[in-house]
Amino acid sequence: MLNWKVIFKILSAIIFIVGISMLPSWFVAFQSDGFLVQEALLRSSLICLLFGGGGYLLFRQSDGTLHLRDGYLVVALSWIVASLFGALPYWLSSDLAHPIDAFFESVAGFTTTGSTIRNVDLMPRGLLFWKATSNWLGGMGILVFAISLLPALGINGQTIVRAEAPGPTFEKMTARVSSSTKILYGTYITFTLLEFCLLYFFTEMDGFDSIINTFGSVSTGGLFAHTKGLAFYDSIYIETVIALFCFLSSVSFLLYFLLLQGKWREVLKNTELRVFILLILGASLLIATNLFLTQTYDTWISGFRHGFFQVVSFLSTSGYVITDFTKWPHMSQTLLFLLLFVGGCASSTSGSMKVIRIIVSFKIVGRMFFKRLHPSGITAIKVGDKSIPAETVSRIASFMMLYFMVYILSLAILSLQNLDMETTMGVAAGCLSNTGLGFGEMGATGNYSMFNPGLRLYLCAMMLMGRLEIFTIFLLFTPTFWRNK
Amino acid sequence: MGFNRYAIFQMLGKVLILTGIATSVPILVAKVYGEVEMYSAFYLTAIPSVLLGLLIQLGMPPSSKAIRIRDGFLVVASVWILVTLVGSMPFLLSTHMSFPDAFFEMASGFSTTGASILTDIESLPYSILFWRSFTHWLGGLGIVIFAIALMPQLNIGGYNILRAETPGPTYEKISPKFKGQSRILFFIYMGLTLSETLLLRLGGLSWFDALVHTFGTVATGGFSTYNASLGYFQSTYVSLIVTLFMVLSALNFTLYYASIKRGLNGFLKDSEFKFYLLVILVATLFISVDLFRMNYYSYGIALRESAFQVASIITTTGYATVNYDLWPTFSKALLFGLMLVGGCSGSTGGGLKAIRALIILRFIRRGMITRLHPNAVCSVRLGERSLSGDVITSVAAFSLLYITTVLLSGLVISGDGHNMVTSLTAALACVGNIGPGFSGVGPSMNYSVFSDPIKIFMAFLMLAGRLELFTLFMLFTPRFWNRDR
Amino acid sequence: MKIAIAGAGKLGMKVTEALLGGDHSVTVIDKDEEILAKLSSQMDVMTVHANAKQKSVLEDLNISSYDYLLATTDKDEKNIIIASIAKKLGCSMVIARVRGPEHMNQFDFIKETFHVDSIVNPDLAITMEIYKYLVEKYTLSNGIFTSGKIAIIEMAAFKMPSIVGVPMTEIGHHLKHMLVIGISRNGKVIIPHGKTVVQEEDFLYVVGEKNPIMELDAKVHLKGKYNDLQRVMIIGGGKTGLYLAQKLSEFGIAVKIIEVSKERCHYLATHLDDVMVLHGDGTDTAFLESENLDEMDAFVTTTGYDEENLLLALMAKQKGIEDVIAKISRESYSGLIEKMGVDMVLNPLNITASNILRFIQGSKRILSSQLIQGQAEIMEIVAGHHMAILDTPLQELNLPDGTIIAAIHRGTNVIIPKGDTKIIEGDRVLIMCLLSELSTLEKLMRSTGRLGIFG
Repeated sequence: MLNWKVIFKILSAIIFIVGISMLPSWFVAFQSDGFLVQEALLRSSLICLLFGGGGYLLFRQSDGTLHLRDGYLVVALSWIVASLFGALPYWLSSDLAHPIDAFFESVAGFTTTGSTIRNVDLMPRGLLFWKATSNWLGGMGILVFAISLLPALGINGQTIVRAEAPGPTFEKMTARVSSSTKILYGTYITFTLLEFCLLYFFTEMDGFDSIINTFGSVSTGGLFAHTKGLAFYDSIYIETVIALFCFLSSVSFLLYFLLLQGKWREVLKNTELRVFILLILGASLLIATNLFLTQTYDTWISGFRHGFFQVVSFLSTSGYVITDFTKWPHMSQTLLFLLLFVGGCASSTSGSMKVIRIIVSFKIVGRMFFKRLHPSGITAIKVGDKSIPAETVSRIASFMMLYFMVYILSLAILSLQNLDMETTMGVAAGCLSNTGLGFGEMGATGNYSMFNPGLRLYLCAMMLMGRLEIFTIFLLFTPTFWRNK
Repeated sequence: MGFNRYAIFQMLGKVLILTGIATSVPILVAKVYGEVEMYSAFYLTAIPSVLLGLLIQLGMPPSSKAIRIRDGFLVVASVWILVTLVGSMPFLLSTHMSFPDAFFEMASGFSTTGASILTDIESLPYSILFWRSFTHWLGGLGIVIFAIALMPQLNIGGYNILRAETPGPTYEKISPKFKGQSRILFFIYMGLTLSETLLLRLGGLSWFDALVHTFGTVATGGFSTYNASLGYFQSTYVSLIVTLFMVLSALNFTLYYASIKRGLNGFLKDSEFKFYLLVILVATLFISVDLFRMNYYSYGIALRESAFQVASIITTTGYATVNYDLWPTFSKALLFGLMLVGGCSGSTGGGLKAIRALIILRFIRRGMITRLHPNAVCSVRLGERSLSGDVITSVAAFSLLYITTVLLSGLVISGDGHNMVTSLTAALACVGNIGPGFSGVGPSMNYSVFSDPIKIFMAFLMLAGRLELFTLFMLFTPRFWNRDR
Repeated sequence: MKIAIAGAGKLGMKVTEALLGGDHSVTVIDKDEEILAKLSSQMDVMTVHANAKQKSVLEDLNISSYDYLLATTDKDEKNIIIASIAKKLGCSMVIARVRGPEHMNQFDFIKETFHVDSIVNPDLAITMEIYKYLVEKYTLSNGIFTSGKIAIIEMAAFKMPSIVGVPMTEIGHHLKHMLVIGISRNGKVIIPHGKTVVQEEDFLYVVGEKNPIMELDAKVHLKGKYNDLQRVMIIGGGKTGLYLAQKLSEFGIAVKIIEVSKERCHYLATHLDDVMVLHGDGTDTAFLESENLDEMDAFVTTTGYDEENLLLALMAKQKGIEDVIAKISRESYSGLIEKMGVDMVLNPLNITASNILRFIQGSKRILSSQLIQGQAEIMEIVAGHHMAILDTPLQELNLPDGTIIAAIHRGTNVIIPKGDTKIIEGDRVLIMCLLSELSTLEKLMRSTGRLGIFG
């Protein structure tokens, strides 16, 4: 039996949180935007607070354990609900008249995809701030946030976190889920503050831009403050800071926990981190050389600067842009496209399949080579020193298969828009990996208005699937899920 | 090194002899069409081959050492490369083709891919064109089947080599003896060949055209003697016949044998067959509707064209009646999806193989169940049979390798300066032995645009794909050469 | 000395036997009455039918009056507890047998925390021996002896044809100022006496002053046999197999280990790095051949069954593998060794027993020791005050058959003993002794005056 009461209780809490977080945006709108926007934000906030607060009070007494199914349902619904309520400001301000568009913006915000329907330069500041806020909340996970704030919810937090967690988690940080989430958010907030300071105090960026960029990079959302992306600033310092924090946020947060405990040696030995860094360097070098040889840029260094930044942007799945990479030679573009399927490290804010899964797949393939030569040989799949149990390996494999399957299916569905193959392939990969960029007609700074509303809704579904590691959403559509055993 | 040199060279010797004999067959064609100047190209290939083969045969001292797995891999890989080399000779001797071009064309022939570097096919002499298509037919059967003549003399079990060669996870044994099995396969193959040739002849094709295109169909290769491929004939009858036989050739041959004994039940009970038909029917339906609604054709023609193209792509043949690269993106996306499936196991088709696609789907489903019920003991079933963990691991590993190979090869090809879609689909078309792809390698294009090193690379990909990746890649792993690790 | 042994298993019994030879008083504690009954009728020991884990049992035994307690019950943890309690109750020294690989890296910690004086692990002990044999076997000449003036080498008899067929009594003509203290013949180590004749396939252990030995070494050095070990196949994935595989692979050798239980294979695969784990039956020669049995440099059989081990070892020897080692736990088979032609047959019990004995005999007297092929021991001891071996010409000492005095350090001089050499107090004596004779050696070294039977 699904524990609906507790589920609703949690959902109410989420809505409430969404409501509260709209307030800062209202404040911004109060300062810079027209009355309509202010009112929209205020109204949305109040609606959320009422709904959320009311619901929570109603179900306050509800208790009981959340089983696995409840966990999945809670996660899926939380995100959908948050996106729905989070769409209110966009819709109410009639900035985006069509509800689907409002929903799209909201989903893109929370799932840290960072795509947009409209021209960012024309967006009212309050709304832009709201979008950035939703990026920030979604980065670490709305639920994780909820659990750290309301430990009472955390009784069953285990199930929820497992369903929401990005990537296969091998170990827990602390015994209590609520303390783990607190640590995660603690680190996250620290990064946020740090980056803000680095941007605000050392550059000409005003407070608004600094916050937008900070929220966007720390959550690996990639929200542009200006349509031209980061090319607007043309500052190596800014690029470096943003790239740095994208990188930091796409590294496993568990490692930071280890660092806090002083176990830096273990951190350095972490296989996933090493592979991730190697990928970044390798890809950057390849692109830099490619750019130089084709004389896209004058110097190798310039090529490296641009290549490195875009590589970090793609791998961290943030989606920042410093140049129109769709004008780059084919090899660089293809490489960037492939990087969309890798993503960052597990237990970070980035999306896509995650480096650890790529590592394990290579080992699976390697083991097959071994088995063909030595049919009676038995090997264990090890990452670093740890041996990975067979069931986990199986899960990783099935995840990857599902990911590709969903990708192909999405290609088919999105192709109904009849854009060219390259654009479609790019968009599908960009959304599923929560990066937000595309190739071809989508371009580096193109927006999604190219797609008709029905498909835009599908894109929302893709973004949600990507963020929730596909299975969570998929499961809701299987009869097995709803069968009461 | 420890390889069984005797067995390896013996096999190479026999293969040389047989290939030599095969290269003399086009001389008859040359005679019929009066291409006297072509004789030398063929007999200068045939005679040295046969002589060299005989020399090796007689020169090797006999040994009773068993053939081991490693030997098997080496034999199969070297045989295919050798045959491609020998097959290139007639081209090199008679035309101005460069070595990379000839090697590419022959690799494409023997691996039954059907990709061509020729820009003007129709300008070539009949005998050469015959040879080109004949390599399809030969490759289709596989050098292994040639071994019906060789096995008794070698006095080895033969299973070691077969393990290296035969595609697919399920290989039903139809006859206890390996020799008997090959004979049966051979007769089925001949049966298909003869019937299609006759039917095409009845459709108005010349003997030459009928034979040559039968070669291309039955081997699921795709070489045509006309630049417009099958579109040249503009005949619904021809389209239908070829469609039918493409599908027939991509079905599991052991089912034919089973149907002799058990009637249609043999087919109806096979999960792979049912899956395959389902996919073909659904794809044809969707594409035809798409073509119709986008006003490409009338519904009847749309049906005809989509049926043909669906069959052509999924069986990895690669014939085209129209330039499908001009089709709406939705249809193209569906075709792209089909490219990933491939033929059935136990057929001449390439690609991932339908049975693997089916197993993957079931595997994903199992993944969902175990995520909901972590303690459930769930197996992946095919029909009535439960698949062992080993088989599933093997399928998963192979699929991962397949996808990785395509993606990385696409990257390499893009380095040659071709756009994303061209590079990726070219990689897919080669590894999957399909032939045409999209964009730069669409059905109206050819592979002459690639640089020589890339051509060799692609030839290698075609052979690797034909040999199910592991066999050829194995030779590049240090593990293969170091027997102790 | 008073020694208590908890657990009348194979090891316990072996040690008891050896100790009895040395005139110690032994008390055996076990839960099984039948075993104890049989024991007390065969050997001169006191038996106690009780559960040694209980403090009361040990107290009743007056364990504080005991010099040593050896805990060799079936469970590691029991052994540790028994030893710990005994120590707390006042037993002078306690030894525990711990077999599990999980404890392998924490011996020191266990010793410290539980106050156990020594830990023995038979599987690890045998692994060390095999390892030393395979990897370090020719580094004997590096010498571990204190003065540095003495060295021992192992030489192949065929390298010096002049000594083949020569009896020990006349070998002095060919090997001047040196002494042959041991011969390795067909895998068995024997201590030569006067009439022993050198055969062609023998390997001789020769002791002497450093320089002449080095010269000899230069002449008879067997090239190519040194450190040429690259591939080893181990049959049996038990503890010994696991330890050995680990040690060998650390050294950089390509190891293939074959185990018949799939579950055990998974365990091995998880715990071993860089070792190829193969699931299969070691008696399936076709399977072994497909994994390149023919090219192995060494072959070690460590399954749980002696018979299998021996047969497999023989099969491997027939295939022409250089070093074939078998683990045998039953004493009765060791007599077959010579006829079999296997290179080395090791009995883990012997090795462990000798380790224990050495510990019991006290480290004060023994300066250093080394095992030879797991069958004999070279040790350097200080000739103490009232030792039975003092002041008597060697030829009159009537040393037991498996013992030989290899060399004597007197002050700064080195003496290669002859028949008339006498040992005086303060000498550092190098003795080579077969493991099976250790207890007799014990008698010789006791400082309780002259040996009764030796007049």
